[in-house]
Amino acid sequence: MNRIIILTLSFLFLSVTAFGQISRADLGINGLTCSLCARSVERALLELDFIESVEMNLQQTQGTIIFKNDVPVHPDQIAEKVVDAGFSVRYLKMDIDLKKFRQISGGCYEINGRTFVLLVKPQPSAKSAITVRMIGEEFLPRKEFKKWDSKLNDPCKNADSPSEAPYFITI
Amino acid sequence: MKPFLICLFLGGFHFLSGQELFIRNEPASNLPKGVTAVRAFSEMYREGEFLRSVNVLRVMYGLSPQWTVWVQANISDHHDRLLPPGLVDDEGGVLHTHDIDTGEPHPMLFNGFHFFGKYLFLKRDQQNQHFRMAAYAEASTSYSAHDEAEPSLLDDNAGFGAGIIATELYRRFAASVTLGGVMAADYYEEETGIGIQYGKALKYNLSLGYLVFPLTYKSYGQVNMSIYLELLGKYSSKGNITQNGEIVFIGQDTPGLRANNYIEAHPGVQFIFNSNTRLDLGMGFPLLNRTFRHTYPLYFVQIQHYFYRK
Repeated sequence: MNRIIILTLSFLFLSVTAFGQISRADLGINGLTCSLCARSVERALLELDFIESVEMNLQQTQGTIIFKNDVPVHPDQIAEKVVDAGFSVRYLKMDIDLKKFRQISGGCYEINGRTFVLLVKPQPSAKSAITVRMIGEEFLPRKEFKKWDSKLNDPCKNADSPSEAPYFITI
Repeated sequence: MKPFLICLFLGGFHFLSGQELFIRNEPASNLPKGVTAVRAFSEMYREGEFLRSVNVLRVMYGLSPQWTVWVQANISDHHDRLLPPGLVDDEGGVLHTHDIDTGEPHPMLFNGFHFFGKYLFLKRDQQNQHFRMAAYAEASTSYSAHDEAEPSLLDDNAGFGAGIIATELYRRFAASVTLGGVMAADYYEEETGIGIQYGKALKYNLSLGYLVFPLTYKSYGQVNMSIYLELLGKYSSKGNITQNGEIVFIGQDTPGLRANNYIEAHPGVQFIFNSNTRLDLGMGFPLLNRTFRHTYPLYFVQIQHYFYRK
């Protein structure tokens, strides 16, 4: 019985490893209407060392990204690759496990030297595994970004904060 | 440890084809950054008993999301290394220009290089549609003894040009407008002392593209087909011929040296294989007036392939 418990816990642990705070993402792309274009976006994303695989669905003009378990994820590099391929990000939604992040204070979390500011306060009873949407000029269409622009303040900035600009996320 | 993979089967892939990959014009959109495209094309027309052609090899590169550049080299038998003998008659006038319906055969000659840069300055992307605008500049070298006033940077003339492109893509349909100017360098040959001052030209093109099939895709490997109709318009001012630096008299029977304005219709079909290799087939017909640079119909065939970094 003890062996079964240990094996079950090991399985659960292994499925979300030390860097498995961000496991997958849904990426919506604007301006995309050709299979040659979709292939170019896929090839550009696969150049990133933290991406394991990409599946493009042009009907919904989106892609599903599976991340590698052992490499830090950089959402801004995902947006950069979409722009490099000639298109724009409509949305970037990521499956994250907040328990694996270091909580700085309130709605601020830190992982791999980057701050994530949660713009919407999660419910106290909410699960730690959630889907968040990246908020920023590179992650949204222009009109939509204008609604968020004035709200993007870093409430946790202090002398110990990472020097790079924070990521803003919402549920 | 093997990564944990979530395999989401999304009910098949659905792709739409490249209906803005116009055959005769550049869209405002750029090549993806870091991608090299190699293109070869041939434009042919019948002149009397034989076929004249210009054959081009182009290498394109996506420098950045804003910049695409290319260099191309061409060979053609449009003209010879020297102007036709007797162009300027013994009395120092030009009474007849090169009669392109019953011309002389020429050897296939290397004409020179053409350089092109395109800068995307406006991008408005939405789901399944976009509007883009770009500015372009081009320059060419040429050794061709081109004896019509209408300048062409493809193979006939050395010179430069610039313009703007606006492209709208909406689901299966794409439309694009290109406006540009062409300025050709003067031609001069020491052997005869004859020179040509070419007209300046304004290009105005409308490109329309439409995805035909497939309606639904299951993989990148399926063949895509689009159809195109492009209207190519060009106004060019009159040219001058000089001999030993003096402008010579030009008679009435010299349509190739007059100012001209014409519009051609270029229908075409495009196949894309494996979401990469592209084959274009097209023809050109006169719609309003005609050019004196070639006869009709014009035949066009083109193939292109992308090379990615990884």
